[in-house]
Amino acid sequence: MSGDRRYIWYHILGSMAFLFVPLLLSPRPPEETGYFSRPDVRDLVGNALMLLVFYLNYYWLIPVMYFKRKYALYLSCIVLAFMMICVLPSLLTGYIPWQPAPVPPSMPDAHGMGPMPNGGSFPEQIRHHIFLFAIVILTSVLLRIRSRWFQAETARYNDELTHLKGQISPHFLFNTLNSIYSLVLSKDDTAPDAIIELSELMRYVLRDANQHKVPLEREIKYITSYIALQQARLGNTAPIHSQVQVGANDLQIAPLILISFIENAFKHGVNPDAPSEILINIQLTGQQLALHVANKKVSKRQVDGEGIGMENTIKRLQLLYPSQHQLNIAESEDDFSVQLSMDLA
Amino acid sequence: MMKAIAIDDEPPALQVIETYCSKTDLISLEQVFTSTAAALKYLEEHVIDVLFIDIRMPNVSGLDFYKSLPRKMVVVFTTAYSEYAIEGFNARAADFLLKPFQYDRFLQAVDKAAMQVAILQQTGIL
Repeated sequence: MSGDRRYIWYHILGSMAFLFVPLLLSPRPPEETGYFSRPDVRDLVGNALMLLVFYLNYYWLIPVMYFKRKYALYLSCIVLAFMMICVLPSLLTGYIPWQPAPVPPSMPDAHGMGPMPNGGSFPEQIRHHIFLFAIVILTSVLLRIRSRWFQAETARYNDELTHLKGQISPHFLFNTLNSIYSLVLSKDDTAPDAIIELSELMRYVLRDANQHKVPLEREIKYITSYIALQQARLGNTAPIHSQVQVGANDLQIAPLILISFIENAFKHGVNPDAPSEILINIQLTGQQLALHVANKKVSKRQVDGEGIGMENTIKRLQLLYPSQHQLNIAESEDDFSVQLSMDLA
Repeated sequence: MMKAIAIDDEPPALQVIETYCSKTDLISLEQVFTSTAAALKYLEEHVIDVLFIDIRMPNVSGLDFYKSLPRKMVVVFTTAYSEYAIEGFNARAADFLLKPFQYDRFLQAVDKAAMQVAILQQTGIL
């Protein structure tokens, strides 16, 4: 909301500057006495029309014609708009463009000059406006294409994510099922709990995670379930030190944005033949969420696109939390650590 | 009775095999390993007939581990992924168990392993 309002102010300030800065900078002909000279008023009207064309082009002509490949129609509209800009300001301020400009009596046409510079003749007007007009049109086209590109990019990542969200890592799923099977087989009392953990996890991934934002508590619950199941799978082969300090809150977060960093630690950081310590720390202070994950790089197993993947999450962070997150990834030969802080306001 | 060991990086998977082996007289599970290095050391000093091994392990793949063994033995691969089945049979595996597997299916694998052990013993390889 505040962002939208800020953009409106940018537009208003930009328009003001576009309209009045040329006016303040233009030389004032000595014979004009009023506060605004006639050419000034004419240019002001011209620039106002330019602005109108800019927004018309941005919000209507480009999406309705250019993007729908009606190029001839689009071009005709642009030419028409240009004609309008050349003629209308003069008409409105009392010049008739297709009649020769009145020659000021004090200055006879002695030097063979045509109409005065800044005069009202039609070719003069075209020359006067064409560069600014081209810049206005090109700028609005560029901005429009940039915003369309950004939308397409966001949509692409959302698609990719929906696709990835639908599939929980099969390796994790089957191994977890197998470890639950093992608990059941040995009549372990923790088996029912493990099944509950797994079904909570599946429910979250399959259903809740399709929403744009979810309650932070649910994302945290998902992570703790995931860690608990991993712990059960790995037994004492990997010491996992996890600490989650997230008090009651009503904050929202984009779903599955934290998990890939944790998945990554388990993917690369567990090997019964090497020291495999995993450290996970999640802390909420006010509206600041801090995640710290550290692991040893010990797994030689090739990783075949399991889970959502860190790259995807990093791009999502850039799109969804552009200036509200800070991510530091430190990597050495043996160690890997991620420090992420997010502003969930 | 055939002597066997089992290797898997996940303890619960080993527990399943331990439970099953304790139910049958066909096979005696000597030891289980989460570490491939420890298993290799054990194999240098002991003779076993059957090896149960997971394929996707962090240190070395079960396939590569089996291929690198100096002494011949019968292998049964265990994995949660079916996509390794072909490779597993190419390595002349006696059987391929898809986790989680039931006791009956496990016994079937033990039967197949026993047949291979018998052939290998007849031909004097084992």
